[in-house]
Amino acid sequence: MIHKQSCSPYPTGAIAGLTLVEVVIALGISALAVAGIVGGYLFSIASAQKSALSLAAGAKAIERVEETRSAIWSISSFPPVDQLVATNFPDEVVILDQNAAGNGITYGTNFTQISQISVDPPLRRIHVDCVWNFKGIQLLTNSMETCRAPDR
Amino acid sequence: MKQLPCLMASAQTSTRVIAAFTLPEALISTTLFLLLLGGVVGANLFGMRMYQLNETKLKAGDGVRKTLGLMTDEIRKCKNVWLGNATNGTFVSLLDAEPQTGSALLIQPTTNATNFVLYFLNPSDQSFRRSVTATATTTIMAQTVTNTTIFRAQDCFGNILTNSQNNRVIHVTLEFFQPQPWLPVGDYSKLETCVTRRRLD
Repeated sequence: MIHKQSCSPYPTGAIAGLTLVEVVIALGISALAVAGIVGGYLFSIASAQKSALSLAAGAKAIERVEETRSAIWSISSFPPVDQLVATNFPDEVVILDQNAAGNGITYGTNFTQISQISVDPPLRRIHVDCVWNFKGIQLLTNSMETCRAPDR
Repeated sequence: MKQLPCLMASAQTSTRVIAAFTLPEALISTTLFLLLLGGVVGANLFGMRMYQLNETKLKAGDGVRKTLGLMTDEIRKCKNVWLGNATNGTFVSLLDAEPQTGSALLIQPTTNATNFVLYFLNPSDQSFRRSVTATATTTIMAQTVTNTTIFRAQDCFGNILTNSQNNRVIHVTLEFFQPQPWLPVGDYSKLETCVTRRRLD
């Protein structure tokens, strides 16, 4: 009777190398780490984009405030001229951002409120809200407010 | 019972030698290491590219925001403001009945007509410049400006004016284009703002 002797050149420690499961787990951990790094970059890009859009929305709100600033409100002339009323500043859709190809436009909407604070002395409050949508998941508002007296 | 002699095992082989990787093990290990290294390097290259893109935008945006901030302050508190065009640094004002759009803006802080600040586009090098007569200096405020009509005067409803009436909004538009060596498409950006003079007489 002849027995084949199982023989290995390796000692016990060398036989216990990486198994397939261990390799897969190691690869999974590596992929998680790389995904984490890339995810961090993507998050920072999204944050930068959000900040840029927020700045643009603020600028658009300021533009509207400046337009109301230029409205003629003269109480010393005859007849008095008053362009500083809410009907003269209806809701306005503005473009906050678009790419070079003209696609991917982000819109905002300016809502203008004008209210009388005081009659004597005459003073009005101008409030502009620029409402915009970030990636279709979050509604954000940038507001600007100022007070204005009549033209001299 | 007869046992076959083990051909591979050798009593003379030391433990250090037989504990080494075989060729397949070494190849697999190297491949895995290269994959991991490639992933990390790729992620860093991607991040560097994004960083460069954002750095360019932020730097350009920061400089121009400072410019616009200074200009809006000067317009708000000025005594008078004129739109026109600048040729070789010489300002030519727009006349009445002409659409109030141009590449230069002259701001007079006081009633002294010889004291003014001039913002203008130099088309030869696409730079946006600020010239102050009080200090006789001209500084470059922004570069790679591509649009030639930077300023326009409009009424409160957004209509472009054809005269220099008192109540008007100065609309400023600056468009920039910077080629990107890393990208097939250059970086385009646009800044807009509106300013109204506060001292309406």
